[in-house]
Amino acid sequence: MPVHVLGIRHHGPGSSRHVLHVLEELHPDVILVEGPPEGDTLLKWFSHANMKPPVAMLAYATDNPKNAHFYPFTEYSPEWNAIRFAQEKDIPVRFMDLPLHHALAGTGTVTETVTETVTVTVTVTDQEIEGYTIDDKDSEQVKEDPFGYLAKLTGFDDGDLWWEHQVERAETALEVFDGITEVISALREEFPDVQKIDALREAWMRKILKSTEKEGFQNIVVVCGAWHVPALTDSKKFKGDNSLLKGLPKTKIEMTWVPWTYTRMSFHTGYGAGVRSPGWYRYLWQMLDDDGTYWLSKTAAVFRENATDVSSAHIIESVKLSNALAALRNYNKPGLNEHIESTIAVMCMGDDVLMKLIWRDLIVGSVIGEIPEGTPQAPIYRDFEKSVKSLRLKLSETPKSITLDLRKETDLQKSILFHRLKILKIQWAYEAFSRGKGTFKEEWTLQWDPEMVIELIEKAIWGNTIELAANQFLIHLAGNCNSISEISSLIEDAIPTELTTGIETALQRLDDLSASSSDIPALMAAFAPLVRIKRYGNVRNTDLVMISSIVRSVFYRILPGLEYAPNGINEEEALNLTNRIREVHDAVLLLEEEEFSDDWFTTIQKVADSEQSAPMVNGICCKILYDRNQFDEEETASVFGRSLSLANPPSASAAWIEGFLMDGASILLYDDVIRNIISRWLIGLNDQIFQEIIPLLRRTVSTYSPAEKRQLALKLQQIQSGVTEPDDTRWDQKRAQLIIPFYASLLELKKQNDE
Amino acid sequence: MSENILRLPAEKEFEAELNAIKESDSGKKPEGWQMSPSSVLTYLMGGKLKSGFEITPKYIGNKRLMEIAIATLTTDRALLLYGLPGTAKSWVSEHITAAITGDSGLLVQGTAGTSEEAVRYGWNYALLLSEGPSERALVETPVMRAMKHGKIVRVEELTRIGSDVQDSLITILSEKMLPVPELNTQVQATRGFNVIATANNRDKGVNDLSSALKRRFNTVILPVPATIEEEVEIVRQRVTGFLKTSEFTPDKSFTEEIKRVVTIFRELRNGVTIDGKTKLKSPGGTLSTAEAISVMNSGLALSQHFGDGKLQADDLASGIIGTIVKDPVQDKVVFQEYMDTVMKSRDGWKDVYRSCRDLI
Repeated sequence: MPVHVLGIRHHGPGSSRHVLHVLEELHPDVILVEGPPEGDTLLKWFSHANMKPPVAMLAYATDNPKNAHFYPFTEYSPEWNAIRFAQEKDIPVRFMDLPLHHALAGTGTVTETVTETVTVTVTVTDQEIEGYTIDDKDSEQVKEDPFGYLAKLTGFDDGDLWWEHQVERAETALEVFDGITEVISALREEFPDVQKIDALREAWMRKILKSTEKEGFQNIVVVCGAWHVPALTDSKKFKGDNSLLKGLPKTKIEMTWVPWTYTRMSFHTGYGAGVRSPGWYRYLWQMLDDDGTYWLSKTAAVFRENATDVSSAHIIESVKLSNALAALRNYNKPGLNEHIESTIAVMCMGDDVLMKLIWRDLIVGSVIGEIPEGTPQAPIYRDFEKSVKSLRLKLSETPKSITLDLRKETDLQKSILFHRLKILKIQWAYEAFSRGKGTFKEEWTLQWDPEMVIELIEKAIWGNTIELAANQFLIHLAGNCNSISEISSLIEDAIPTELTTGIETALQRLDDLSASSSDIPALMAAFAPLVRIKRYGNVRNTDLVMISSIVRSVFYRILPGLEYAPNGINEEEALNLTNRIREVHDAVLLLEEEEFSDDWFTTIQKVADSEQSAPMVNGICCKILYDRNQFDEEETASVFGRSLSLANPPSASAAWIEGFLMDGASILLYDDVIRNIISRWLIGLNDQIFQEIIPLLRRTVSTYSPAEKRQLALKLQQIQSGVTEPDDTRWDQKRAQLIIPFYASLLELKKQNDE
Repeated sequence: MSENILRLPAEKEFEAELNAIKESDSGKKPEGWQMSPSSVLTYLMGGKLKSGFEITPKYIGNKRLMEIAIATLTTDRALLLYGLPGTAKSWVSEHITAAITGDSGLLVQGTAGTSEEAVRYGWNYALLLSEGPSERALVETPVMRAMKHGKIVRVEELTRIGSDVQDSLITILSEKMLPVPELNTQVQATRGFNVIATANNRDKGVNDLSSALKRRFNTVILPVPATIEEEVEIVRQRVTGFLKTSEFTPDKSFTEEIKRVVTIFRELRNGVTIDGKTKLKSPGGTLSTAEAISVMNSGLALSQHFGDGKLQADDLASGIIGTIVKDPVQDKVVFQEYMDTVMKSRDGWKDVYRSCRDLI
């Protein structure tokens, strides 16, 4: 009664190929695959015509979807191919791992932080599973990658490479598995410590293996991670399994399918998924006989798509270099490293910056899986339904408006949900019109579209609840932002979502981008909202220390650049910059920190002093200094006189006035000296120039309130009619005295008078 | 006689090592090579031979880069070593050549004045006038000699050579022959011939390679020292060499000063602080290790001749700013930003911050 245990490397294309060869040869009557037995109900979907890998089986505890486990499959995963093979040939196939209702019950203590929850969710290589242990001390030991150890012994740089060359790239089939068994047995003898969860899993595998034998199957093939092989082949180990498996904790779990992506498969997302280069593996799976020509041609194609010229001669030379490198390193064939190095040396002039493209588009790849209709629902959708229900909202296809009062807890929760969905780009609720600052009201329109279910499930790869997914997705979006304005609008969208880590990542991204940006107005635009958060604690959970440090770094990035920003810009840019300076000025006053305001006024002084600043910017800076009493009357007069001197082009003078007078009419109303200077300047203009600049002045005045305008007109009328000051004699003393008692009562002065 | 020579060529200086490697070499040798590619690698990276002979490392850094360099030479592509000053480009090119052909002397030094006669061939004008064009009147260049004898010719500072002269290498690299139209003949390269060029990739005012020429080279960029400790050590050694001629005795604060200068240079060069938390803009200058050395040297000179003999932040500030701020507007903004976001708040950096602030 032969049992063949095939030790594979999860997602190894070579393993896949060898498994298929062996299955063809052995014609087993049953196949056991490492995986949760609950997944048996999902087996029928493997051969579904609309099932397109990468896809993942998702298992989660019903009461707590955050406690979940993904089993990703790619077209080159050995498990995937073994199961499909079995179904094609009508061979019974079963999963044989520890049932997840035990495994997930054991991990009830998973920490709540987002990243950690995510880390424990993926099963790809054995090392990762072992990271799933209950005991911290245990997991530490397991993190010492056993294959990395083997690689070191045999002179390879890392465990991946060792696998690739020793097993994945070997072309003969059956002996390979014997070899693996031997090597892993030796390795496990060297490191006899077994994690508790591993011991349980292996015991369960043996249990299933035994019961399968009892059922009378004659030719059993087991496909499991190489690390487990010795545990399943050594009969001594079979003792004591029953007592070990007694009394395991239990929890209710559910399983479903979710589409997966190559990006999720790779290390890059921080998911610890174990396959650094899913795109490369797909190439190995599809193109075994290629000497690198196909791969390097694809590389060249990616470069060309991104406007980098690469000729066929480059490809030829890269192939030659890859093979020469492989020969020098005693490999029978060039691997990914050789191709990367030859691409850099031949196609990129030694510079690896462009390799980012290759990593993204080729080595990782942008493949997304698809799952057929009718598969069970994903937990993120369930979480969404739950929130909708608890907030007493309804999914309806006809639009419906609701008004939220954020002071009420449920309304606030609704608002948070809508904002999170907005981050996830699910347009169920959209804000009907933009609200003013500081109001507690929000207007939303809700309109449901069945397609949104798909959009929601698509987001399942980011997390199992709306909160987790929105947070991860926000982190992803922040990473993709490449300009200050993009990231600041993202931050504005993100703040009402209360997604702490996501917002922190976005802020960090803003800091990074501001370091490499020289777009001063954009930086300034980002500054004011940050200050508001810092001052009023807008984000409840965001780390204020971090915001402070970012406020500081953004501020000190603005200052040196601001000195030069107003030089040589056009009118539109000047207007923009002027508005930004006002915003930042207000924000600096709001901060009430002496260090900031001192440095701010020093810089403003420099801009005001500079001859090269755009006149409008110069105007606002002078105004800021004037407001701060930095100028006495005499100096103000001299600044005005200088800026409005007839030697300046009139349009420049008008722009300067606009900058200075933008904030309000009070100066014109109450400062006679300034008003006289302006009057004199206006009168001194000839007709043609006057007509040219009148629209500019009109624009300035148009920002004033009607009351200010009326007062100003009155004042000017008085001046023209020769009345400079109101005359006391025009007062009717008697009538004026009549109102005094009324004012007194208003001010409660009556008593005092009585006394 | 060789005792009087200031600096021996690599193949003489390391003759014993080369001989030992050749003796124990069992690998397959490409035609024209005196040892196998993996032996060349051993010679460069150091190691112990089977015979127990110890080989000193010639290049300290990433082994993979040397593998790419050697593998390139086994194909018939030319090799271009690119990098900042002080990253051992010429050193590597000399040693690879010494290991492969045993003759590192075939060298064309690239300058703005390097003419085509220095690359292809020249004439002995007296003979040319008396006999007309003839083999005898032809003056061979190192390139021509390397072609005839299947050796490797080194071209130093390739990007300093004028573009038209650079391009005369194209025929040599792609057709592997050098036509001599005056004699109606040509020189065919024999097996083993190849070119190793070195060039500086951040130097200003160089002649960029034409794309036709670029296409004939495989490029390996030699990076600046990978860790701050490595770089501080390199600066320390070189500056202590300078000190031997002066009366200054290095103390502990001296190493600290080096560390600060190297930190400033590395952070600005990499555009990120050492702790990786804050991103920075980079100035236009190269900020190489070589420049850090010269900042230290001039700071020491200042302190000895104009200061109290103790190295102070003041002495270094002018050097630091002079090296970083090459463009009075752009670089100044970059450095001011750096001062305010990084230097200002760093523990124990108050003095450098103030000295720089006073100068800028």
